[in-house]
Amino acid sequence: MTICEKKSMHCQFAQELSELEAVRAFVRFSCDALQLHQEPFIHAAELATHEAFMNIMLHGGTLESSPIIIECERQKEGLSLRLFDKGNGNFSPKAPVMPPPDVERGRGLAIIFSLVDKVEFTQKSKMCEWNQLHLFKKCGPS
Amino acid sequence: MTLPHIVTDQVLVITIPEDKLDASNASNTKTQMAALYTSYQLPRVVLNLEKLIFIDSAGIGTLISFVKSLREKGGDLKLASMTKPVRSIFELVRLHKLFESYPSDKDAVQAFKI
Repeated sequence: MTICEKKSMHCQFAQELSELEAVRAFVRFSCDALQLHQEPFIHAAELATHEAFMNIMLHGGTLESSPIIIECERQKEGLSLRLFDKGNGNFSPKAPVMPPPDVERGRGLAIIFSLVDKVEFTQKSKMCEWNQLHLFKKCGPS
Repeated sequence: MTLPHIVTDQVLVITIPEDKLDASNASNTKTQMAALYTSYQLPRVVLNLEKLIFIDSAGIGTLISFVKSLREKGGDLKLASMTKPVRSIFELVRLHKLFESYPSDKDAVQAFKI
């Protein structure tokens, strides 16, 4: 894990279910280090990142041996969360409708879009580059 | 490992023993809940969530699957002792419309008698 002037932090994770807890711990640790202490904000950032990580694992078209890098950056109005991967997957920029309560699957993306204020996907243009999924969450009033 | 559970007034009360129900343990939890139902044949179930502080879309899917299977058998699943972060996710995904939630096991068991 790297800390750059306490404004951003990044960490690399293997594509394994056992990493999910570490992903959440990293986001929580980063929020704390970046002076974002409101529990509902931290929980939302944790869950959005967790679901995004899962989405890349399941649908990102990446090799299992390829890592996912997560970067947390404090910005003036909130927190930027960037997930980098080398897969061939795509990501719809359109917010999906939350499935009805009795439907078992398909909530991951809807949860991400509900928890953060901005979702952007930049697809790599060359094999050697990284895709970037950018989530931005505004800070609420303290 | 079997999930902690007791039977009271013909209601199966299961406790989720971990602080998370996510993609890493949802499948195992689903299997264990189904096994407990098979053992006791009691379709009225209370799930104690007092230790649970994190649930993701996979964990949510597990609870929906379980409640649907119980309702098909004429039973139901009621939730007890839900923590604040889990309640906020339930409200976000509108799951509070699917489940009845009670402050304690005792209240949830009592609700089956009404």
